[in-house]
Amino acid sequence: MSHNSITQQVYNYLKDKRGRAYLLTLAFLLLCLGAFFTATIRADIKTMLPEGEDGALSRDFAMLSESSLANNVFITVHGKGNASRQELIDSANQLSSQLSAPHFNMIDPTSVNPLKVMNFLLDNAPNLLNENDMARVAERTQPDAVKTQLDADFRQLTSPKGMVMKSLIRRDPLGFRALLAPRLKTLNALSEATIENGHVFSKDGTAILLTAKSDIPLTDADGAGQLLAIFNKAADTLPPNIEAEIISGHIHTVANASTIKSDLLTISLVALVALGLLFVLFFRSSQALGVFLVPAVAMCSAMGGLALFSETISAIVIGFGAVLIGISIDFAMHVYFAIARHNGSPGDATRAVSRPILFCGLTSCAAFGALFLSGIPGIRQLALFSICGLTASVLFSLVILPHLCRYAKVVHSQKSNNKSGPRRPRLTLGIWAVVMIVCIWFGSAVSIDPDLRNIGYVPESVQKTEQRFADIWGNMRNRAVIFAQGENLETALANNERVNDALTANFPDIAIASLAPLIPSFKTQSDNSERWKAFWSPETHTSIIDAINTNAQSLGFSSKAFLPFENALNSAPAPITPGALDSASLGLIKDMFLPDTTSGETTMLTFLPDSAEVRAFFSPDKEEELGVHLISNARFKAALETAMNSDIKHFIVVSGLAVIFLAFVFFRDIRRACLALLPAATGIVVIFGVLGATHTDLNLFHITALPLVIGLGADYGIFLVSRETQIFELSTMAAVKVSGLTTLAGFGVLILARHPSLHSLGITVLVGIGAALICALYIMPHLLRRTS
Amino acid sequence: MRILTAIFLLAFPCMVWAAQSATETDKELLLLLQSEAEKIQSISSEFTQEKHLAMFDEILISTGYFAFKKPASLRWEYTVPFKAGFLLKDGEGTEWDDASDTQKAFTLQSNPAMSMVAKQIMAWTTFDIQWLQSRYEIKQISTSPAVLELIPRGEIAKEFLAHLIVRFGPDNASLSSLELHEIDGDFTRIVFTAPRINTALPNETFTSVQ
Repeated sequence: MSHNSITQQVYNYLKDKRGRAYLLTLAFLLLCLGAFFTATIRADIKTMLPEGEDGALSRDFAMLSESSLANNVFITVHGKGNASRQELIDSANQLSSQLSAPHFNMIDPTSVNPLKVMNFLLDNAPNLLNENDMARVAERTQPDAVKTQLDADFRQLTSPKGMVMKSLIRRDPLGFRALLAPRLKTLNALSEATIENGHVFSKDGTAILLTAKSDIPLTDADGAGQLLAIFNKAADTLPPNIEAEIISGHIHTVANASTIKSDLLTISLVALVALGLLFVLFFRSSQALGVFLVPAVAMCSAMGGLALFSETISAIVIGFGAVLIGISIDFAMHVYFAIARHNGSPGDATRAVSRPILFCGLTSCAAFGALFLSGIPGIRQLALFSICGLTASVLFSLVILPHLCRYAKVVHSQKSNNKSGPRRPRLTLGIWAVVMIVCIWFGSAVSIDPDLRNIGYVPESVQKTEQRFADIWGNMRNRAVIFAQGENLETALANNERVNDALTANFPDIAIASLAPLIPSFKTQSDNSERWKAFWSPETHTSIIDAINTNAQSLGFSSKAFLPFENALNSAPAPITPGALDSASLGLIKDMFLPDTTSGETTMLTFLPDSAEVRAFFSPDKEEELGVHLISNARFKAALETAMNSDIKHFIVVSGLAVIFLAFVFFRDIRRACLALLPAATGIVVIFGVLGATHTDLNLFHITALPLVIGLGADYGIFLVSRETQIFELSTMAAVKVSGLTTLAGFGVLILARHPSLHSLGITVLVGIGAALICALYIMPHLLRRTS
Repeated sequence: MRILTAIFLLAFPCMVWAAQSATETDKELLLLLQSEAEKIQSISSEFTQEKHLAMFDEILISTGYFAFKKPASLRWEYTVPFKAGFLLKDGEGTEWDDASDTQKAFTLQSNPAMSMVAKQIMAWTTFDIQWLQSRYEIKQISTSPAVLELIPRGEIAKEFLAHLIVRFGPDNASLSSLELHEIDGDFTRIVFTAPRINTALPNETFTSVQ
């Protein structure tokens, strides 16, 4: 029994059971929706990142997310013109007082107590001072050096700074702090900012940085909107010569959400008008409403299917899948036109188009199936989503739709088309050939944009603010992060120290931010401590204390002036642990360099410039040798570019081969199979040509739209070549034209979107489907007529 | 040492901004002091500094010279028992110390420590009431001549400084003395002698070490 007769028999079987069929369909759709709503939806970009070899890139991204400052809110307070430091401080204070939890949990840089920090370093001098440092300690304890240093102490105590230096000088009369303080310099490598009056000032003193943590998730558009509104309200109260600017992921959330919202409003209105126009021109019947149910059916089925096979679902996939699945309406249109133009029963008409529809469904599924080969999990989800939706739309179009539009009649304007045959075939084909050659020429220059940030919408004002922020505070995006991990603290500390030593030796001129100078490994601390003890033998101890007392007396110091120093020499500190940083008021620093991770291993971070030399140094072998892992933005981009390059090749080759194979199986004729693929090939070539000519880089959303163009283009070709074999004699041209125009009206209007991802999709669909449609309607008739 | 001094900036009493009120102080007196200070275009004076520190057996006495000229030129130097100090003009300055026989150029932007010291001295000289109130709670002890007690507001400043006593001259036009009382009982007294107000100060005062 052929499938043609099956469709007819199914129609006849359901003829008396339409109500039950509709109810069953509705129940199925509700089931799909139910399955979907029990699944976990993820709104972040993670699913759109390549997994890399053995999931290495996914792990890198997870590590970076756990360790980055992504959830922090940064505010720059700067003057418009010549604002004084005091005006900046007053404005920063005023702003801070108006920003409160949960939107802003202001981080107080004054929590770093300099006296506690310096005492921490002095107390732990035995653990921290290495062999080279001890040589300098030996120099500083020579009699002449003691005299010079005590004289300097005396002068400092006399100066305006004396009051705050007094306790330190008592604790450290020989100035060992000069050997220890450079260890704090490593923390300054994060930025050239300075702390003044409890505020973080830019290097040139013209701006203050305020930092806050926010309880508002970056995915919460409403919360992010409130956060921004609170900030703007507070910023408006600042003096006219002071300006405050905010940098946060929340701004991007708000910008993207509001842009997509306004885009969808514009696009919906334009698409509605365009679709309404098409309805008036080509349908004018309530029977056609069933056709417009198909995308909804496809969408529900796709969501249900995806929920069945995926534990977590990407919201991005749902959003773009919803757009892509719009092509499912094409199958319904062919069924509708067949019924409307057929004089027999709807079952007969459906039977006539069922074979090309099935093959068109198969080619579209094959095109989208190629997405399964992607290294990006989100793209694979998109493949599953599209195939589920397309399968459901084919089944609905062939089984249920004929009952919904069984009384369909074609309107007059459609009957008049195609009265005139193709004109000037040579000229038309010549123009087409030239266009193809030009597009191939330009298309060969298309490059890939692997920067995921470019997919999001960033208003010009935000771009300028971010640029100003980078100019003032340094560009954190240009920093690489080294992860030193260990199953226990000692291993992590040792790896962290080893990489710091390697960096200092190999890159002496770059700014490296690491905790290693403050917390060496326990082994190093133990070695340092032994060396310190050996130096302070009872004889050395006595002679140095005597030298201090003698010189101190001559300068007028009391006999107990340096008692704290003597007491410290008689005590041995415990090894430094990360917890010690909390009591040294360096908890903020500890959190930044020693983040809590979910991996279960202790992780220590080192920040450094993301240069080509650094990336080259950290080869896989070197990383293994040092027991660390370098993650850099540039490496991410390169990996994404590789994955996208590989994806494009796979998509085009595999979907192309699959579609060619199916076309050959359908027609069993190479020439016809090739002809059927001409619109799809034209669409793809023109897309690359237009992108190349406009110097537009290919992004992730251009790529995801390619299977749509291949699938739809192949559909047009199959239906038109089917005319040649007279498989069905209905008005194929009208169906192809209407379905093409519907696609352009529905999705081509996305080109009006301001959001880059929607715009990319719109460009691809408009150019690709537009070219495929023109090829189908104006090029193929010449080729078909000549060969028939 | 630059890092060290930069870190120690935090110790200055400037951590918390203030409610702009002077509930315990005669506002009229403060305004009067400010209006007198506003008339000052330049001021120069010798000073004597007494350091009463427990870590010394005796009081440390040093003398020096101080000069200020609007808008922001400053010289602060010790002459006895040693020569050291700094000068500042248009945001650029020089530090010197005869012990190391060195002169070191700096800018206020590159040396926030010196910026803060200079700001403190200038605030006292010009009686910048807004700036002072943001950092100190001001109490009036007597009116004529004016004597004020200032208690720091910043938490870290409170770790060092208990309070300040500021005495004005008979005409309330300029500071007569300043006492900085520390938490541990030590204190520093700076007495200004015969201040010269609005006299012509040569440019070299703020540009040349000698």
